[in-house]
Amino acid sequence: MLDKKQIKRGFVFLVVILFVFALFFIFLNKRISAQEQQQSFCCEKTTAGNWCQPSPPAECASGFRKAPTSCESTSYCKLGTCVNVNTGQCTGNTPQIVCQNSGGVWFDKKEDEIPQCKRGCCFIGQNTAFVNQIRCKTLASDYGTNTTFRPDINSESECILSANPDVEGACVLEKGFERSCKRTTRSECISLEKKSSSDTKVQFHEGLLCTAEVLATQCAPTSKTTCVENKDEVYFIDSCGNIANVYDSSKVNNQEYWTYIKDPAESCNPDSSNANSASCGNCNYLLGSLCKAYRRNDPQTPVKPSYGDFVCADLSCKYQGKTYQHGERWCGTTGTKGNENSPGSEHAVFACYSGEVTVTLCDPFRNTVCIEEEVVPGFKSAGCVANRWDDCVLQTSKQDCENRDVRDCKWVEGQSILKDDSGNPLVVNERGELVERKKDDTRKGASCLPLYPPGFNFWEEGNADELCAIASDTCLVKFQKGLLGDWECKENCECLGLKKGDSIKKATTNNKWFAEKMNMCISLGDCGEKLNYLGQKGFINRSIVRWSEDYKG
Amino acid sequence: MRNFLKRGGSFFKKGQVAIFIIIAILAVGAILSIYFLNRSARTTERFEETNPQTFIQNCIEESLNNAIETISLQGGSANPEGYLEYKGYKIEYACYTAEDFKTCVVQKPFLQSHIENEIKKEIEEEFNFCFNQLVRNYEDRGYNVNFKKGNLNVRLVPKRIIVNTTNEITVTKGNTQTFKDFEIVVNSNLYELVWIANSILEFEASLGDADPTIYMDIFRWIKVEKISREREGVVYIITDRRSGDKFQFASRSLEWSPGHEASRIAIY
Repeated sequence: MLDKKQIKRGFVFLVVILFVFALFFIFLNKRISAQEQQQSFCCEKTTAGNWCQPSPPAECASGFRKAPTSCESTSYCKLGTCVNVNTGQCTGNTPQIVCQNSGGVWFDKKEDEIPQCKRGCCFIGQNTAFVNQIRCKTLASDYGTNTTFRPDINSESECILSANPDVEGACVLEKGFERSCKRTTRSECISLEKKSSSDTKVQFHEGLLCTAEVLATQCAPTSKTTCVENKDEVYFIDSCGNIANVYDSSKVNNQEYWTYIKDPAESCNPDSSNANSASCGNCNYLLGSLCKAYRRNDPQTPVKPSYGDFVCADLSCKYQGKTYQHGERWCGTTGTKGNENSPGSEHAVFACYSGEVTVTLCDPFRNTVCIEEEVVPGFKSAGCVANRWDDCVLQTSKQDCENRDVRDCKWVEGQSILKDDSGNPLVVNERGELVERKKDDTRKGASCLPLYPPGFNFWEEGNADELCAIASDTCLVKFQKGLLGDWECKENCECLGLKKGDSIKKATTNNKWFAEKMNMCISLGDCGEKLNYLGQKGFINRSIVRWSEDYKG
Repeated sequence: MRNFLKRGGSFFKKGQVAIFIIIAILAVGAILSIYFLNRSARTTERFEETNPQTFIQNCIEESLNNAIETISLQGGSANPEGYLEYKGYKIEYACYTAEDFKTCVVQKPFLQSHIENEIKKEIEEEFNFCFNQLVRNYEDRGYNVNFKKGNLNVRLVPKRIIVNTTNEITVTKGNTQTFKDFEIVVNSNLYELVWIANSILEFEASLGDADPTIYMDIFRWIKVEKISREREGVVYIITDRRSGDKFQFASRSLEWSPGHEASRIAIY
């Protein structure tokens, strides 16, 4: 039988156990909660309003599903093709829930595996479009015209080449003594005939202009000009408002020029842009000109046309004192001159189109860089490409290092980042390969470094220090002091710009070893002693020389 | 006399100030009256009994244009969700991923339909107001009016935006006339701009990036700008140089984190 004391002791013991257990339970719960916060969930919708994103659970919007797994593993966020059965639009990479919310039908297939999305050639008027059949019908409705769909045409280029514009000519309408005329296609003329009254005779004359004398219409040549939609050139118009041929001041009274329809290739200066030409309106967008109304103070139209009010506007650009052609692209940077790859700088592609320069930045931190090429003499092309710097320092031969098919690196002779097992820097042999240094080896080293130093997010916690530390080095310089005299350099003297036996007082960091090391450091990325993209100094720690405790000055 | 003028001079000066103030108040009042009278006169003038279509067009046009502009500058939505901020606008993401080195997940698979719905939602209230106003105008002129509410539909087509409704109004004053199938048309190149946006969206979703210059190579009147918003993605701005019509949207795809591959480097 237990006495009161024992019962009391037992009770206290039980309470303590329960208390400890409770504390443990609370702690475990918090830990699980903290882990849960770190774990990525698939949120059907995030609090920011985006659908199907991997996020911490706290960022999942309430009232929507979430799962502790990747979005691809869920049914609602799995990516597939979304089809709009009304318009025929097929969009890939779309989550199921987004598709359903948009009123589409979702398929767990790629676009080209879905019959409704299969593309063919859609003939819309005189143009073509490489779309699926439903989309072709929608386009017919949008453009208010008939279409024909050819599923047998399987490529876009084939579709474009298949476009067969209807023949053009003069559609003459004769009613009584009146002979009016309209420049149309044959099919449009047939439509006009159907709409005309029974006493109107309609005849189509292929290849002729309404001003052809043989047609004896009421339309006469004029010296007026105009621009035509979807065409680059300046055109004459006749007195009925019909488009005639390309403006050529030498042909304004030429009967033959006002008789037959001429292709722009048969008109004045077909191989030139004719920008700022007063006499020829044969503009060409690809060569840098386009029909535009002449305005006295417009820099694109500095020359008044001899006839009419329209000219070929010059689409080239003037930028920082240089002239760039329409369509030309060149590289630039946000960094000031000399600081193109400095901390904060980004590469950019400048483009000239229609007299205006647009700037597109490459990715930040120089993850992509701008590459420029002169495709034809005097005409540059440029674009952002990946900065493939990541395995530069691992290269052990000049040939591999400078292989631009695989990486963007440069081979710098002098010091080696790579070392052997004993920690000695490697040296370069006669074949340009890094090898182990032998005893009394006077060969120099080399390093393979990024051609475009990448940027680092060094102001936040990350691996910037680790990356820059690749080029860190310690040089132990030994000095010896005799009974009399000064400290004299004995070993590794070049690290302080000294020779063996030189006094410590001559030590300086302004030496070749230091310069080579610093060059390696700054080439790795946003490391070392650098100015930023605006040319401003960073915070430099100049304590790069540490004196051992033996040295008393 | 001089003393009188001296003593009364200050009085006259105060009087001058008062006169000028009164004149100014009268002038402002006159201008405001002319403005408001003119406005109401214009409203009255626009209503033609035989052409209610014109009345509806004039009534809704301003709201419609405002809705089009707002929606075009906000990535296709009147009230953007999931957006980035640029130059004071909330620009919705058409394609988005929170992860780095991954192509984006499409947020707006049918941009054109979405925009059409958004415009419809934005103008619905004003549209109903205009029809109520039309009914009242007929009633004020002694007509018996029978109004049947139908559907409202917005369509983006090449070079235009068409708003049509199957609302039906039957007015009787001796004769009976029925007006239905009202159609409001505004000039806009939004259809063409959205077509290009869809193409860019396809590139962003499949390849992670789009080159804006290819569209300027093909389309004479189009300007495409790509504005990088560090770590937030990019904003595409598509402008028709002739009309100034603009459509802009955001995308976050294949974003690279800084120093991304360096962890692979193992020197020792």
